Amino acid sequence: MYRAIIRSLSCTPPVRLKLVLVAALLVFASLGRGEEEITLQFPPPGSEPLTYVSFRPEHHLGEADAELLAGDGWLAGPVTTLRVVRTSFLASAYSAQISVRLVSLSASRPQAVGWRMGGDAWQVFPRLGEWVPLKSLPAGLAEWETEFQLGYHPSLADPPGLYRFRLQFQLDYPQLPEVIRTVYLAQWEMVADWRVGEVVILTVHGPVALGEVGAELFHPQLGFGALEASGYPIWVGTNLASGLVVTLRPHSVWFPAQFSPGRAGLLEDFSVRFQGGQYLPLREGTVEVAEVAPFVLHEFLVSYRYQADEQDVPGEYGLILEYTVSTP
Amino acid sequence: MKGILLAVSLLMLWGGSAWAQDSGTAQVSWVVAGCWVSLRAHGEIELGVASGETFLEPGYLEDTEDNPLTVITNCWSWTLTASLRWHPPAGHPDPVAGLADFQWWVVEVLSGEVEGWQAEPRAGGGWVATGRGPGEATLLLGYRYNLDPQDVPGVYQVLITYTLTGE
Repeated sequence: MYRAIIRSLSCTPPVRLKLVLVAALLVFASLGRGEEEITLQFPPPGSEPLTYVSFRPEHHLGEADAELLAGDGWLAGPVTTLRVVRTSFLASAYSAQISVRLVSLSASRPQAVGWRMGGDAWQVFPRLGEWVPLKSLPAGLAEWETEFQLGYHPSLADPPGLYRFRLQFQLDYPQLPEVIRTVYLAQWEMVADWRVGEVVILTVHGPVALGEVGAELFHPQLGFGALEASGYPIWVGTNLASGLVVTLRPHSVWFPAQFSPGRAGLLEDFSVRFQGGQYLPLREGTVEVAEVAPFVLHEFLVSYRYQADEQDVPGEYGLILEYTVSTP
Repeated sequence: MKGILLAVSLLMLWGGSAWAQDSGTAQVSWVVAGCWVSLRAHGEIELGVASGETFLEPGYLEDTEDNPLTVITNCWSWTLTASLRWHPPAGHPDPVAGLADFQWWVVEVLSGEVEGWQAEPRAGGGWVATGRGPGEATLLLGYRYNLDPQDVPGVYQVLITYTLTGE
């Protein structure tokens, strides 16, 4: 709503600034109000209240970061209390059924919206608009309360931005005659919002030991052998629509002091194969190794190869490669 | 002033760039666990046939062309030695001492870090050359047989075994 207000402005800058301030104050005021627990009574004022429901109407889940988008966790809101108090004949003679449904969602996956009570496992909504049983209150149970938490299971498929969903709850008395059932029906709503940041994920495998250059590789007349290690994973992903470019460059190298070919010679004999392609000799500078589409976590399997030759004096060799992912 | 700050922070929520970058490193290491040597030697050499004229002038049979020995090693240093076995024809009057008439030497060092070599013709086995590694070195060898009145007709053979060691 506030964005619509700003967009509709065609006034002079000072007037626009004032209106922006007003809009901001409205935003902050509404944010503050919803974080408090409220109690509604049913039937509404004017009749004798027989059911009281206490709950928190607004839930701010926070921001989904790279770890959450790449993993399997939930972006969980604060733990609140959902409390129902029933009085008079409704509590003593009738069972009640509390249900919830997802009314609106500014994301594409209703199954990613969930709730949990008392620290139990997360429950999800099968689809938009479908009532889901939350709790049955037997006749004689006047008061019931639970820890209640809303959450979202973020995914790399979620573009950056602000998200929001709205839930509708109802407490129904199925055994009441239809005529008065709607009178004592209690309904209330909760909203939750969260932010998904601009996420770029790059996870590189751990250290790789290629092994030892031994006598079995030292066959000058038949061609020297090579050390090779395959299947080392690199995970790349983003929720930015532009996708990513993956580049590689040699960062630092080490070798025995008597290794006369030096850094350039070591790089010349070292090659990298990205996801089953051709081995690419490593050289100074940056080389592009892949382009990745957005909204999916990609796994690349990398192979490394070192070609032995007579210049390889005894000692320890190695290098550090730097992978970089960036938007094009 | 407060109002300006508030407005700026609100507008930034709707704006923002979509450029992003991240980097990560991978360490790859290996070990060269020792040093090794490889020697490539020339093949069989025919010194020729000793005729009556050859006995008189120059008095020997010789081959100094294109007899390479190539050393390939990743060791710091290497040494090349030779040992000889003499196979005179049956009926030779001195089957043991006759080997003294066979000489060999390093004619030329074509490549590599060779620090010393047997440059003068010598008989019998012994040191051939010493060099520094790692790398490749090529030597050209010469062979000569000094003809002797005791050389009965027949086929004469010398089997030379070159041994390369590195450290």
